[in-house]
Amino acid sequence: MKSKFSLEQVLGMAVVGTFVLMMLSVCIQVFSRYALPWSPSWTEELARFCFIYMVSLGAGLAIRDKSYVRVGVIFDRLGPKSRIRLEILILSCIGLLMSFMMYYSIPLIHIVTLQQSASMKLNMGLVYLSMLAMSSLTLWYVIREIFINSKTLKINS
Amino acid sequence: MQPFYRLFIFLLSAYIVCSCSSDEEKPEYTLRFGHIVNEDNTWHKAAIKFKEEVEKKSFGRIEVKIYPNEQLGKEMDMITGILSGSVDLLITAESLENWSLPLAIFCATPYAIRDSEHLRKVAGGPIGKEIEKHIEDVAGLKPIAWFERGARNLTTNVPITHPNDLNNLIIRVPNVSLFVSTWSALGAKPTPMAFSEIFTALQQSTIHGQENPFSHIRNAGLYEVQKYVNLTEHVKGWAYVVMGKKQFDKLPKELQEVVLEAAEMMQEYEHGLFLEQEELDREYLQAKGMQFVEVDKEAFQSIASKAVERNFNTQQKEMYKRIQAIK
Amino acid sequence: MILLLFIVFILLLLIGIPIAFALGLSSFVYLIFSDLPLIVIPQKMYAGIDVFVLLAIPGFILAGNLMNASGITGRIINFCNAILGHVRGGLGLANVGASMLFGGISGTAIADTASIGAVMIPAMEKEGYDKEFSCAVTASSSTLGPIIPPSLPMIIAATLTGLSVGKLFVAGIIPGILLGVGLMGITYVISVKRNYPKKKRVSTIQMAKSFYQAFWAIMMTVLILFGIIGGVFTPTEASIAAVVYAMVIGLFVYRELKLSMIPRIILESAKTTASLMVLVGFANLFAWIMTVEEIPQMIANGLLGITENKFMILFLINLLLLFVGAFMETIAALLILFPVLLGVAMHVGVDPIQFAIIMVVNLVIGLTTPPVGICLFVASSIGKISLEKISRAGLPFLLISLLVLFLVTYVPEISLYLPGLFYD
Ligand code: NA
Ligand code: NA
Repeated sequence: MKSKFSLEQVLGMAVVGTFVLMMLSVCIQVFSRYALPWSPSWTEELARFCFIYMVSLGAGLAIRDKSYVRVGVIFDRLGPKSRIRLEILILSCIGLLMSFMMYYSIPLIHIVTLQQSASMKLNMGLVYLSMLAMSSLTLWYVIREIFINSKTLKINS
Repeated sequence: MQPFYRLFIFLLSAYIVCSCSSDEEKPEYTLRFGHIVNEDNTWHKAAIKFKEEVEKKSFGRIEVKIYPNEQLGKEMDMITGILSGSVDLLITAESLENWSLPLAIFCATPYAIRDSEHLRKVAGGPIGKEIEKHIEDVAGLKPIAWFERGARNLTTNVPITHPNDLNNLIIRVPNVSLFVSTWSALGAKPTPMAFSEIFTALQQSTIHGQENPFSHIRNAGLYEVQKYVNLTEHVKGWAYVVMGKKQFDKLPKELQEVVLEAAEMMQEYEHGLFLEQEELDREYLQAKGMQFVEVDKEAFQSIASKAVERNFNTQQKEMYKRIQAIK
Repeated sequence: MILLLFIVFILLLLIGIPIAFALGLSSFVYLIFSDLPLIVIPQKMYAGIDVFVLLAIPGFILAGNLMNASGITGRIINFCNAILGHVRGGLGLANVGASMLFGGISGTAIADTASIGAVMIPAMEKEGYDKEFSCAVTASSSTLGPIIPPSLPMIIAATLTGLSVGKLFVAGIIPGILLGVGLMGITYVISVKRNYPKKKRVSTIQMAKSFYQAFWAIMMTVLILFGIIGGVFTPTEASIAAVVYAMVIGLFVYRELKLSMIPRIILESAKTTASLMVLVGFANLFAWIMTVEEIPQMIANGLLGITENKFMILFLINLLLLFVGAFMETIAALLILFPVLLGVAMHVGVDPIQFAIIMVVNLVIGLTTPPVGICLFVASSIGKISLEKISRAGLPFLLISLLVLFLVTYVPEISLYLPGLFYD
């Protein structure tokens, strides 16, 4: 059975949602400074946390879109088949880094559960959870891309 | 091409020197000591004293590396670093409150401490020991020394002598909720903001005032954009030098002794420097044309104390009373 | 040991691993061989992006994308054509002019190359300009994007060292205009030499009309700059104000933007931001390792050991950055080198604001030089022409850029006059 929404759609909505929430909190900050007798202290914090989640959830999608800047000197000189092989190597390297980041983000989250954010008194473990999200989502998209690339390689040969 | 060639040679030789020096006799332990102030600050000088003492007394078995200016990260990040083992020592204060350490707020509680004498009795006495134990037991951070800090005073461009004068003035406060509620109660409009943004914000009148010790007012050059130092002296506090408990326990007994002894010497050394510097900073601000305004401290204190108590939990309230009871 | 860090980094970069991950992986390899815990990988990633000023980046990216979707690029180009088209080489001049105006909206050079190049390169070709010339003009002038405010590299420079973003933005205005005028000058000279076409002068009414249409784009720069200088907004707030402004213009004034398009545009901007912030985070890790190993002091002492002469130091830094810029993207290079070199520059008495401008101008020149010049890549893919040809055609423009760099480096007033006027 296919679910109603794909991971991509859900992620997309979450990314847009955090972006909009971030903008709203900054707007509230400006508005309250000039139009209200008091300024809430949580706007900066909320905006920052939304930003961090937006980045973390978007990092994997950016892999799929190949948005990361890279140097193509060797790449441009290769034939189509070697190109795919190199692509798989590159993706595997990224995957390796992301698996370690994922593994070590768990003890990190554990350490910062002791900390509360300064104004919203939010448990910082929840905010650092974004690092687990970033690494696991990126890893997921890396594996997917490796899979797609190896499939093209097989079809070509 | 001459300079470029020389640059290349330099980089090459730098690497060679670097890789050779690592073959030398290595110290058994390296302690990374981070703090957030610059090299001119008394904290940094005290850290250097600590480094010298530790390295001398341990006969080179321990090496201390000092990283000023937030080089190792922001204060909160460095605390995370200590707990995860990438930093060993740090100078910190009321930020500790956010690490499930409610009692650490007394490092900077409005009108808790009256003067230097009172401060010494509190931070250096049984209450200080209690707070230190609290920090060590709950968070795994071992306070090894404490430094007195200058009183926080309000700076503005209009003289303030009474809370009534505050009248919705936008005052920058650090992102500590106790400060926000205290200044709201006093009638100002407190806005949390990063320390580094204060100067520009004052210059552009995004904020109208801020509150800090003399040394910070001097170091951030705030005398260029503020006319009055209103002597509210609303916070008299101290800071802790903390070491990771795990890192401390890893040292053999005799080296633990060395660290503690050096920490004690650092504390005394810093205290001497602090008293000298506090006076110098005050004179400096006066010379730069700032005017010092005496305020109705009792009026400030009665409103602020009530706000503080409203904000505190029972454990904090109880300690607040005990601190004020010390004569 | 530290040599390992750099060698691994360069190797990974060469095989084509994105810069962000090359920084992360080389740090990872280093950490394995050192006594530092691997937990710093997620820790420094988090600390690198948990910075309030960085929030200005998605705002400015989104504002730029919204303006693009509102058909603003076309209107800017029309306006520049209307006022410059009748001069010899008019389309080339209009290309540079459009980059200056577009620079006031976008914060990066790539956006500039892509948006203006897509329209101008084919148009210039149709009118009889050489293809390599058209691509070279587009790539070179797009470096105005990060010099004229708003500017992503300047926001990054500010977060690294606590400099005021507002001051940096203002400081970039004169160098940006200077570079724009210089590029126009060389375009004109080449056009006259090669007898490139000119168009008929357009009527005053048409000119006024095109000005009215481009007016709203220019007002965005005004809103951003005066909002920040006047103390109404912090830079982060200004970026959000720019977003709101762009939406209003797109939805109600030009009416080319549809509400249904906005989520898509937000998502695209978020993805661009995310890839940038992963770079920022891993660069923070890389820089942290360098700090722990005391490399910055070593480089600083080394540079100051060669000479303590201010002019020589600046010259050495210029050379170093041109070299680095040839291989590395602006923001990545800034993240790693700015704090290190700023210390050296301040030691010999260079103003930090001026130094930030020197560094940004220096590094963006690298965007148009091989082997790694991102604007060159984009222009070559739009024009479908080899990198070598564009690079050769770009030599005169490179010379002008170097001349402006020289002026910015040795005449502090160019960068410091306006900040002094508004802030002191
Ligand atoms: Na720009
Ligand atoms: Na380049």
